Amino acid sequence: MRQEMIAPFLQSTQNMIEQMSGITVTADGGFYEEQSELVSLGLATLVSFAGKVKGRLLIDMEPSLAVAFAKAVNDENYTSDREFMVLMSAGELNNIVAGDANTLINNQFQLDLRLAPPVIISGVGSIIRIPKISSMSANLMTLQGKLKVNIAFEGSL
Amino acid sequence: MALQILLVDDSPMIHNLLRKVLVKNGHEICGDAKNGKEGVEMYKSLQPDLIFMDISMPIMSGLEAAAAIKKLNPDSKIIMLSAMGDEAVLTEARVIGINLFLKKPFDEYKIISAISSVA
Repeated sequence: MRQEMIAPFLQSTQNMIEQMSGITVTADGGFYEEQSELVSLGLATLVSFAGKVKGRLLIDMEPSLAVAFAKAVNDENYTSDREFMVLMSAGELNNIVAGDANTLINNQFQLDLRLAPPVIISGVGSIIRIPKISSMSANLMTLQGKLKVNIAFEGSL
Repeated sequence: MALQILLVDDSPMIHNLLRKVLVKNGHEICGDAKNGKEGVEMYKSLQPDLIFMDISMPIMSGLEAAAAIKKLNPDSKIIMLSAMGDEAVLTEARVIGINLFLKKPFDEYKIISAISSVA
């Protein structure tokens, strides 16, 4: 997968979390190829996009981070990552990250990528397997918990 | 001046954030629509001073809804809020006659400045 197609997603994840919540995000190493199914850290969101190519972005985070992010963004108190606004805030984060990264990619490569609504999956240890498509992951750290960005494009981009 | 504002977005988080900023600054939310179709219907019945409209929504997109509203009233004021902001989207928004395009995420300053520039 071409670096210039995946790097914007990592950069946007860091930028958008920091802009929206003030939570500092640091990269824990670079991208690596996922060799097996993903085991969720707690709250995973998936946004698919399609245009001249197809792809999807998965952002997976620990429950503590999901709650801290929603609290900071909405200025409201939450106790569980399964609360409605925590789930919705994680979904909106993925939508905003995917939109930001795809804006850069569309302007650079004219791929006309458009987003589908986010899918939100809650549960530590949930198995996420998306066959027939290879993907790249990067791990990120915050003081409030870990997260993973996983990006895939169909074909040999 | 206090404005009657219609919010059209499928994200409860965005409704929540916009409502807080707008009410704090003296405006009134006259309607909350979750998709473009609801937005057009609410526009007809509520006749708001200003609309905040998302693009990617189920049933009817924000661009389709904005085009329908501009057809009903070319002087309607629409601020588009979207995660996507590439050249193709911006061009389509300009053709429809969107008054202002804001890329998500936003903060209070961005929202209030946007209102001042179109109202």
